[in-house]
Amino acid sequence: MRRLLLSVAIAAIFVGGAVAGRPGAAAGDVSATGAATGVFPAGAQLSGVTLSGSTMGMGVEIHADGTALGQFETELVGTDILGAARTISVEGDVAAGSLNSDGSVTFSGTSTVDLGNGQVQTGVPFTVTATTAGLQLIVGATTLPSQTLGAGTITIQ
Amino acid sequence: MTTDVGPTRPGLRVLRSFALAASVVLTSASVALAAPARGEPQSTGLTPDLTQSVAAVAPAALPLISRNVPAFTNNDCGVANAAQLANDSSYDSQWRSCDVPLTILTAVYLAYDLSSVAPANRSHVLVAWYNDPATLPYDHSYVPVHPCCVGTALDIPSDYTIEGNAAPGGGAYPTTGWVVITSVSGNHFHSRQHLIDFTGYNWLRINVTGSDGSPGASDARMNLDVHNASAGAQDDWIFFGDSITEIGLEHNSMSGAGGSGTWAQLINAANPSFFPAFEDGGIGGAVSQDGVNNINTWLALFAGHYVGLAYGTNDAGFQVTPTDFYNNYVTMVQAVISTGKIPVVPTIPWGCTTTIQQNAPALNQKIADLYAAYPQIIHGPDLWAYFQANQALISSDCVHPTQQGFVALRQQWANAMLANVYNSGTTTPPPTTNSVVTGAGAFTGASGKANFGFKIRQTGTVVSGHFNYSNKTDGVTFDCPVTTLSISGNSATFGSSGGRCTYQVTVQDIAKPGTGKDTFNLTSPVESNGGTLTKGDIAVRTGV
Repeated sequence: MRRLLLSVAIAAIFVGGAVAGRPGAAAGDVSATGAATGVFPAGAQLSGVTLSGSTMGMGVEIHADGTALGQFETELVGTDILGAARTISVEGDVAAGSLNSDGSVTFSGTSTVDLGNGQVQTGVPFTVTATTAGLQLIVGATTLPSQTLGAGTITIQ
Repeated sequence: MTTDVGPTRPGLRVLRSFALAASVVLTSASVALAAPARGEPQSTGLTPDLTQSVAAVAPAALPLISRNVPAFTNNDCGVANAAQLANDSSYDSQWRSCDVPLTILTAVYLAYDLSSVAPANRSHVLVAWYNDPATLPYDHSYVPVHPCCVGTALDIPSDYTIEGNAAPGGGAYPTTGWVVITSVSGNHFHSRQHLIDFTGYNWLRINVTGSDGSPGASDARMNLDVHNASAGAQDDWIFFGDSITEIGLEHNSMSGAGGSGTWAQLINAANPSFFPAFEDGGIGGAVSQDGVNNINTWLALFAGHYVGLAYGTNDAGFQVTPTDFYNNYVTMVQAVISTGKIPVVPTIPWGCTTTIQQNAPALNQKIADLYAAYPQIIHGPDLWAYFQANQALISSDCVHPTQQGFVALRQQWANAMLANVYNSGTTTPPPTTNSVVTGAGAFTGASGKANFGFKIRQTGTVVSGHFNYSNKTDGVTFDCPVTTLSISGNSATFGSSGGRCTYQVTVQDIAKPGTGKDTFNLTSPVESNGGTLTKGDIAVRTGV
């Protein structure tokens, strides 16, 4: 079980609306900042936890050379197989990123994942693709279902 | 100021001045008789040290730009309390409206034509109004831990807006075109300040629609200063303390006792490069626990940088233990530091009651311990040493200075800050290094659980960035640009002014990861919220 949990790869694709690209942004630094709540579609699961939503924050600067810096943090909220509430947190440092042709940004780094059951994994790679209406999160090798924003905002500029 | 201070004012002054003394003296019965004779040297356990142990850097200047600019009002009681009294060089005079019930329909305004000030010097301004010493305590509605004094509100603006107008200056007061920049309701403090983006405006006014006063004094009364804050609001101070601070740092000249101006005017006279903004946060009867109980609320209202913490006389009177006194100060100092501001701490003044003589030296030793533990503290004046050496300046209550003593106390505060802050070297240079501050996380504060994310880059003097905030509890969100940034050590303060995006955030990067360590504090007209991160991290990077 422990081995299984440690190998959990978390991913989520948060599908949002198309993001208008910032003219000229690709040629320079781009920032992605956000503070929001998210909503998972039915059936989203991670490590035996049925996910319903999340809260998250991001503060990232992406450079034209593909490097990036900043932080990403999310708390994924759900219930375990016994129906008990469970929160899984992902706290990541951002090291790389890019502005995509559709105006979204993708950034990645390594994270600490607290599975909410006493088990904490460190050094877990993660990737986020964010738009102003949602985001896509990949942690390790697991892709979570897409998530749209509830309250709050994501700003890409 | 109007010369009409009201018939109750002299008596009120006596009450404020001596109620504290009574409470202290009464706890020790005939203590005054048992007190050592004046002139007998008493050890504080402290080596008088007006030299800052840690090199302080002088703040960027906050020049006063409203002095004698054209001032207008719609209510000055038939010129008796003219608008010009609010911005002349005398703080002994104030603009005051006639005593009418203030409502939206009977609003009174005080307006300044700032068009003669170069636009670059008024793009960002600090607006500070001072009702004191009409109203004596900083917060007349606050009842201290040991209630001692009756705080009476006289003509405090309780509901008002600060507004700008782009109409050309040099002529008549514009009756239209006013834009609300910030608004306040329910105020009960005798002074307030607002750091605002004034870009594009020529005129500034405070429009008062409500008063926190008392019978015969329920209108609006104030001096109002506008400072050029284009280099930030570093040279902005507030002094919290008891009645000794309350009286000693009032906005008046004390000319009747030989004084020559407010504390800021003393600083300006000695070093004309500076004219600090300052508020008097003294409340009669307060002990250090009162500071602890209120420090976060007070700091949320204060846009400036230096925070005086001057308690202890009443702690000595009420025999607060040195450990409790120290812990109270630690709480206050940490609160100040966590918001990116700088604490300033003097010693407890010498006095001749038995309780002060017996207890204050041990408390002053704790202040020495505090200096050692927190090198960020700017040393205030050594008021024990000063009044011990000048005992004739302590009044017959053995607690408060005489009127001349208060003049001397104010000068001691000026001397110490001139030595330890203003003349400490060069002024803060404009930022020349590049900095990046980023953060993302969550915390639970007084206003609920919130998430945030921000990125700010400073290249030379240019600051750009963005800030997002979402409070899950009350639904408040921010999606705002960042236009100002100041970094002090591992702390950063950023924000912007204007409309919905008027806010200031102070973060502290204590550890990595920041969970349980780093701090986040938001202040704004919409919401003030902050705390230690429950998730996430903050990174303050300089020289990048």
